[in-house]
Amino acid sequence: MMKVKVAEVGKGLHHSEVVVTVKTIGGDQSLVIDRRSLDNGFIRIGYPIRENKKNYLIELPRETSSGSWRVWVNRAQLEDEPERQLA
Amino acid sequence: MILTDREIQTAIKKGAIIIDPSPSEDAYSSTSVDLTLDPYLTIFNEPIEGADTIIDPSIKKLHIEKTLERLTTQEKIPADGFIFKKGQLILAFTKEYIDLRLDTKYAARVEGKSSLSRIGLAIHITAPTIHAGYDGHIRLELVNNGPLPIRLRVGMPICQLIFEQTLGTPDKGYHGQFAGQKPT
Repeated sequence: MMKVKVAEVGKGLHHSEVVVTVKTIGGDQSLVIDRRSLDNGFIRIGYPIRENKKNYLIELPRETSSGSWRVWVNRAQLEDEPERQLA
Repeated sequence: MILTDREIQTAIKKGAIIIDPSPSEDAYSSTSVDLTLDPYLTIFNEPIEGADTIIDPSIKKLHIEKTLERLTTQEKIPADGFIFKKGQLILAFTKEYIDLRLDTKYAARVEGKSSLSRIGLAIHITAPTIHAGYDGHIRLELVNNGPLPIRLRVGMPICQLIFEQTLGTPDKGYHGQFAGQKPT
């Protein structure tokens, strides 16, 4: 699995939430996530959906402010994420 | 396929579904689990007469969170409850944190409780889907459609969560295409 780099830009409506931005190839997109999802400036995104040259189509864990789930990001924005084991 | 109470509990034991705090035994029905109301509400400010604000969702740069921050006020539900006026829309959260593990093929729907529906309380506005991989408290859009004000209390059962198993693994949970690949 993989994770994508995000920048924290504000608080959400609930104390557990933060607003983050993801650098997509079309510009920054913001979304609200749970603070627990934030891991040293990254959030888990599962596996990329498509690859096109240096860009990956990824699905974000929540809808962005502009209503997108899937966005293209440069591969430099991604890092590997170890699989979590079930109990 | 909808999960039964036993399947939900098994998935929780395996860590495939996380609900924190854990629901009590009586929060379950045969095919759902009740979630409760968080203490904090987001309330829309009264409009100023003669200075109408119009939200235009088609504007690409519209930042919904910032817009909501400007148009609303956070309020903690007092000990004697919050009086929810008829016709009002408020945003609320479940007290419970939910985590639907992406690789375990679970999704869910948040739905109202019939006992509350009968007095006019709606808990979402056409957005009930909790997608596979979701984690966080569930946002609720509460509307009082009833004829009378409703007293909301912290921790009251406010909605029910119905879990479904997806048919197959979504693209983002399927590593076939990207097995062994690392972004470089």
